[in-house]
Amino acid sequence: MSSSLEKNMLILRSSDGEEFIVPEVVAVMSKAIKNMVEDECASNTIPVPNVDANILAMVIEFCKKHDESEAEAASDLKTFDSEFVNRGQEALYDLITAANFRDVKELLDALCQNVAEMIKGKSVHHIRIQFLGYQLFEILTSNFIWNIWCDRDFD
Amino acid sequence: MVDSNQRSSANCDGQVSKGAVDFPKEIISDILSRLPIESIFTCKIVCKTWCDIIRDSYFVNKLCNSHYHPTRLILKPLRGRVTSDTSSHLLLVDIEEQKTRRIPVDKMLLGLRIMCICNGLLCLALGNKIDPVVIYNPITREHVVLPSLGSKPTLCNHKVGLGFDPSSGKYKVVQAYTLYSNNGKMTRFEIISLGESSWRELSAPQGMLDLAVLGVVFWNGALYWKMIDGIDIDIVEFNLSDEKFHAITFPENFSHFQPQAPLQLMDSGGFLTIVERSSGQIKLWRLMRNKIGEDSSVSLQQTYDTHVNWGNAVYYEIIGDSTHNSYLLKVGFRNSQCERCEHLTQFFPQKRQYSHLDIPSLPDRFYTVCLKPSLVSPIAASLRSN
Repeated sequence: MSSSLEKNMLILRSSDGEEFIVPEVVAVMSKAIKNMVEDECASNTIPVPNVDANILAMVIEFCKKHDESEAEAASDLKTFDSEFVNRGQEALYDLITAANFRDVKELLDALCQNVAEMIKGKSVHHIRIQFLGYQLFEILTSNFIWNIWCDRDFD
Repeated sequence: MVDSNQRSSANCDGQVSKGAVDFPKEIISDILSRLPIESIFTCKIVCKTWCDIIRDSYFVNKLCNSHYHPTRLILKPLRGRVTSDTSSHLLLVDIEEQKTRRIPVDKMLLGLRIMCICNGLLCLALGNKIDPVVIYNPITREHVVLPSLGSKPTLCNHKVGLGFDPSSGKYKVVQAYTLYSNNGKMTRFEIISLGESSWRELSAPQGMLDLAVLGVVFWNGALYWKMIDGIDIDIVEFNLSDEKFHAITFPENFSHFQPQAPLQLMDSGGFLTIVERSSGQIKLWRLMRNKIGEDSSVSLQQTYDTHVNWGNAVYYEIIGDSTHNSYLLKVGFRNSQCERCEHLTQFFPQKRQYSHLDIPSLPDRFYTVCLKPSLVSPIAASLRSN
């Protein structure tokens, strides 16, 4: 890998106004940004709306690691991915939204796989609480309705 | 995983404000397509949005092409000692988790034999009768009965292959049967696309007409027919898009004469593999698909010592390859009352190890196939072709 000074740098501005200086090769891992750069509609500073500084920093960290470690063993990268995505649910959801919106395929892949691991083997109630943000009250009522249904089915 | 448990307990206190339900449908679809089929069953009843996504044809196709989707066994109990309890079920077996799940089946379907598998669909038919031919998905439990071919009085050796033709996007069914007439016996092939109303006869090369069909396997756009010519076994490729038979070139060291156990065909690591079994050895031959216009060829991939002298009293069959360089075997033996008892075993050739799989509620005798569960609806596939 050549020295980072030779690379073109881009400035990404998050929704809350913070700016990040990022090598172009890293930034274009986002297909959305890549398209902007290729169409030459990107000035030096690229606004990244809907993504705050906190999440943008995480996305950049991920892309940097993937850019650096192209030559590294794939298993190392896998370990990094699984550790990277292992975060609180709120951050996870924001990251998915950002990765989807900015079209960062590798990140989206790792994140979706992580959510899938969280769903695997769980009960319906557990999934509803964890992923749909159901409160206990809703679970109880839906359970109640569900039970009435089931009773009918077996009549 | 510890971390995710902590997260979920925190969530039970009601700290969640956002939900996965807010995601675009493609994202939810992507996440769900990475789940094993048992979890997909669960997710289907989580909420209406998820249920709609799972039912959508976009998701059904995504699941078919997904690399994450683990294989399962479909196990059909055979009548041995009277176990009436299991007689109206198929079993869906998860080897990794060692779990079974019952699939209630119509009696009519259970009387038929599993002839071929393609994209999670089973092709069911009888060995000595031309009707019925049924396409059945054991996961969605939907089935379609194919049009009748009319009565053929003296018929035997009925085998039916099911395959997906990527060039037309259609499922095609080919049946082979041997007809006896005054002029002797003759093997005939007929084809139908799912949704069509009548069968069309295929012209097979002259040399194939006297061969008897032993079985058929679908792999990657083609059907592979195992044929027997007196004592020699041959394999013929039938391309589903040009609907023509093609010969396969075998190397000189390949023995067509297999007195002990017939050749098996299976998908192993994305390749069609021919399994040659003798008492002390397993040879795996790999089929290479060559350029268009050239015949496919076969080359020796692997030879394993089985370390056990298998015979008639203690027999085995390879069902498929599983993770960690192992193969899944069905192993059977005859007990003191001469009844057959069968079970599943994993064979690790490199470690020279057999490990018995203790899966609860397996029947004493069974027929089993390996498949990638899918949500492909045979009914929808027939309608689409119309």
